[in-house]
Amino acid sequence: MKTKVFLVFLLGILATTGSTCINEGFLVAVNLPIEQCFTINAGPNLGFSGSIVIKLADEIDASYLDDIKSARFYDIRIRTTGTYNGTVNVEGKIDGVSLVKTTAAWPWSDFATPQSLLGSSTKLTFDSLGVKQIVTKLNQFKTDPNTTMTLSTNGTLAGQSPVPGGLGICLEILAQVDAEVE
Amino acid sequence: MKPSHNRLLRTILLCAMVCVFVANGATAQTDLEKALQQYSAQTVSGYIQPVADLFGADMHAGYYHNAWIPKSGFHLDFDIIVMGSIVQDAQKFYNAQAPAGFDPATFKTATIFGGKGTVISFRGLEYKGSDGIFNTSIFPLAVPQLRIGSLYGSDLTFRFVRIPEITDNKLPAITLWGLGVRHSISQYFSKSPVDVAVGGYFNSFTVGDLMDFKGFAVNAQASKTLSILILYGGIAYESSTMGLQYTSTDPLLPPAVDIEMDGANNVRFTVGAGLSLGILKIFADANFGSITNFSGGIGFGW
Repeated sequence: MKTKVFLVFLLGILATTGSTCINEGFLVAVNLPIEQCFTINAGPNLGFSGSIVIKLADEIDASYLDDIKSARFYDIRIRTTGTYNGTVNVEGKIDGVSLVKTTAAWPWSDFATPQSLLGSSTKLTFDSLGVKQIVTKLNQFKTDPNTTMTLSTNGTLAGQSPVPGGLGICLEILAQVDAEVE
Repeated sequence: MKPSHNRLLRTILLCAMVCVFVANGATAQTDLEKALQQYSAQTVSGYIQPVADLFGADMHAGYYHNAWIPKSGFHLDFDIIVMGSIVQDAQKFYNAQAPAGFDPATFKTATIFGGKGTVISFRGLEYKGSDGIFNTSIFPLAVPQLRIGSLYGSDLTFRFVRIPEITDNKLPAITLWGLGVRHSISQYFSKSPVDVAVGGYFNSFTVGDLMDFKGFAVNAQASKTLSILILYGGIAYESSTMGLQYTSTDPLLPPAVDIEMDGANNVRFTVGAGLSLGILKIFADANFGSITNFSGGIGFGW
């Protein structure tokens, strides 16, 4: 009998600890990178453009989709891939709304390291309407996992022609969602 | 033991495991993985390091409650040990890396034992750390152990728990085992006022494919029997390692995470007391080191 009482006592301690030890509805901060790299065609044409529709749900693990409590973005970046001995002038849009533009024709190589909103890049200017559109879409994503964003870029190169192969320009929106784990 | 006692023991063990690794009683491993999968090998260590520290200290607790070892003859003890490491305030926060461009580059946010994740703000942009998972001031574990002796003043101690995988509830198989050997030193000194022994121990604990803990300890232990009261204590050197393996779901990060973290506790001082009531033993001790740990239990000895 004593043994049983003692075991029940131990069980009580552990069960009490165990039942309260998990933070109810804790939030996991899930990175939601929304990015697209557009290939610039090789050849004599110095202008480029591209567009793609991104389903936000495809950018995070499906297990987080059911309980997204909040969403935010923390950076917008433009970077280049490949080598080009000239300049680039580019505009990035979200859902057809201007989001980011270069302030002038800057050397392509300047964008080999991402230029960003967070870094207060002097080579870029950000449009508040485009920023507002990101916020709108992220808020929509909290309740609608089918939310999509259309990212597009257009611009021109100068200084080297024909355009060599292997060039790309990437538009990145770095976001986070808070997924509740119940 | 009676069947009812067996059920109780199983429940106790399961409760301890649940608290440690199971959220909402059944899906903890999944939840734990979901929380961890957003971390890279470089960033997860700060978040989960306290588990390595606290569990490492738990694993080595409760191995002895008496340093007396007969020179020879058959002796069998069965103990149920419950141990818990104290979660210190410092283990509820860590310095996480902020995304490139944020100033400052690091920020203090919740570990797995913390509360809400910290939100940092820079130039109107915000970034957040994950919330903690466990809200507890003590990190518990329970194990059964069997001690068999004696031969040349030595005995062996075994610990083993296996909870099979429960597929429906996504609880992975949990296996804990430990092995220890002790040798009496005081047997060589007939006038020794206290019983003295030395021991060496190895422990292993695995949680599915996600986590595994391994550790060893060597100790010197002493005890003094005063009628039914046994006072005991010791000093130990120990080492523990937690391995963590999972696939990160963050597309910005390398997917494979396979890291090892060392537990904080290396030196342990133990003081404890027990009662010997015939075949029934009741004991409790406190363990001091980098981690403060308490253990206690009940034993049946023949």
